[in-house]
Amino acid sequence: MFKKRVLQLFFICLFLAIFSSSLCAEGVSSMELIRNAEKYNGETVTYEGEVIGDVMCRGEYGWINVSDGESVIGIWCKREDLEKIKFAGSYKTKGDKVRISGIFNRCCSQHQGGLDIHAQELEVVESGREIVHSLNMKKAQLVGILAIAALGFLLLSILRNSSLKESSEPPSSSPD
Amino acid sequence: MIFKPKLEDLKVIGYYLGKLIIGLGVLMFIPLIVALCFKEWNPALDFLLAALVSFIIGYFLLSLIPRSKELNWTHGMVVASLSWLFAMLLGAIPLYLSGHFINFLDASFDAMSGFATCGLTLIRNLDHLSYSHNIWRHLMMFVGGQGIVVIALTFFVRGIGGAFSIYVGEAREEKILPNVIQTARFIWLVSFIWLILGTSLLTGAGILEGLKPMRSFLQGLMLFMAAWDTGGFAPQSQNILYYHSFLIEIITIILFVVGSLNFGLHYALWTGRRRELYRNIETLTFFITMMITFTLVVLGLMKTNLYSGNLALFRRGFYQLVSGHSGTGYMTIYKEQFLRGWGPLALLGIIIAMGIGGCSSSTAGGIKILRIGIVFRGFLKEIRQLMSPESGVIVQKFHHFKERILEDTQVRSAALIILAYVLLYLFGAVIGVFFGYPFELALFESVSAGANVGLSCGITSVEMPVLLKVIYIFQMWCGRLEFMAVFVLFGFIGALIKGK
Repeated sequence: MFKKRVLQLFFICLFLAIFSSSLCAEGVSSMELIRNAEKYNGETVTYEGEVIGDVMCRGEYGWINVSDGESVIGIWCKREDLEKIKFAGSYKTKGDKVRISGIFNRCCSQHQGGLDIHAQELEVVESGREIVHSLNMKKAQLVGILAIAALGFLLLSILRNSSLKESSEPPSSSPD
Repeated sequence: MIFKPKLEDLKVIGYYLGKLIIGLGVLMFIPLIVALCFKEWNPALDFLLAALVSFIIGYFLLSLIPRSKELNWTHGMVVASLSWLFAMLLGAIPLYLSGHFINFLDASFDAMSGFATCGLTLIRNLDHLSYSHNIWRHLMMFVGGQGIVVIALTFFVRGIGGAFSIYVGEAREEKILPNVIQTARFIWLVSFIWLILGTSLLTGAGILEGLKPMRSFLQGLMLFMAAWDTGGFAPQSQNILYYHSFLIEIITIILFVVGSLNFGLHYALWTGRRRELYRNIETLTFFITMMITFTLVVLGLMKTNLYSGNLALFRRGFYQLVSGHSGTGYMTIYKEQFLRGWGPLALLGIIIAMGIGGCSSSTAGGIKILRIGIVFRGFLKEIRQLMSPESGVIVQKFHHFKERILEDTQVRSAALIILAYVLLYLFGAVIGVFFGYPFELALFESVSAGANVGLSCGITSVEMPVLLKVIYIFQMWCGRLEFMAVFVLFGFIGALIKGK
């Protein structure tokens, strides 16, 4: 009986250990950090997402903004980490997916109250790429139809205007 | 007895509306050119499509009504209010086609927010939006801030006698120059000079902060358009927080404070009358209300002990306050932080500042500082009257470009507009509470929409109820036009239905 209980306890502990370690590996979401900023303030967190916009170097350090799809958080990193980033997300590119481990600050004292993460480690987990936007032919066809309609109304408007002008002009007197 | 408007009245309205709609279609060529320059082919089709729809509607109206008599007061008001609704619907077409909105209502919400220089947004995945669509969002603010009608007066309409009525319909009461068209052109001249100056400063700051030159220029241009017109849209989803830059924050503060000043004041400074800056009732009241609300924000933030150090208080507290007071809505914090960390007193400070807004005849929304100043002077006059002998006559003066004697009618009309704004703010707040949001947050968001500010505490989102989206659109429209044109439109529709 005692052995059975010990065995049960062992499996529960094992399950909890595996579950919590998988949670740590996934890291926390941006909204979780923003909404529970007080709880995570000063803690080491793991955050993962796409680098968007620009890589902004400021001397030995610099900023990137990382989006996990819910929100975007500013990451303060070393220049050598910034150099690992090849793609930043925009209309034409999907940014590199990075995993950051660092200190979360609710009101960063170094950056005058900003909510940010100071990265200790940065790893590119998935490389970004250029996005090819193929031309939407349905839109192009619709534009063609609308262009003909607009031209028709423009001509109609000009014709109506000129016919009104003619009718309102006084008849020209003959020279003799 | 209510007189039913005649067919001739509808023709006048249709004619000028047609011209304004064509003007809007022409405006869409700017983002179209941007799309072509950056090889954004699908966005180019979006703008071409929206421009063509505008031309079809505009030329259809003009082919039905090729000529028109001059506008009277009612026509001008109806044209002004309807042109903003048409601008919203047509401006929403390219936004919706971008694929960044879940439905046309959300795109219309952003279009009205843009034209009304509000800044609340329902866009998804903004960080992957094309340059041309992003330019369009900011261009709507630039155009809406000056006034859609002001543009028409400047570029498309020449020598119309009723021009002043549509100009007033767009919530501009003062003619800076004797002629309303000259006034409209002066507004544009000032804006273009600041456009060059502001964009250059922001581009330079962006490069210094690590942005590539072309990106810095585009972001600088967009930030300028939304800052100068006290709009609040930004090219990236984190708003101003994206740049993590004190320099950009300082430049944007200067731009939106200058943008929230009366264009008459710009003219006074332009013509060398610098004393106007510290003698004018508006600038004095602006300073006083700013100090009072800032005190509330500081006390509130000290209570929550959120920010340590004066610079943090300046970059997070003062920035949000000035942004709210000027009606801009630029943010250097996350919207969720208002709820989690600011506390009720600091929120109250921001709500009061947003509700008051900027100067009259500026790009800012809200009650307007001039009205607050006039009502306060009226209040002082009443107290002085009570304290003086019955036969005594109290004369209260104020300085607004010249010495003026305060009339009771001025105080009454200012008080009426203040009351209308307060009711508008409460209306949105009550609807927010009905949908289950806490009162202070519902009031915050409602004041932000009604005063065309754009600061958000998180209510404005794709998931919010449809009715609340419609109410906020109505508040943005009403707040931007300062009620009169909207009331006249409702009266006109009522007369069409019930008139004899």
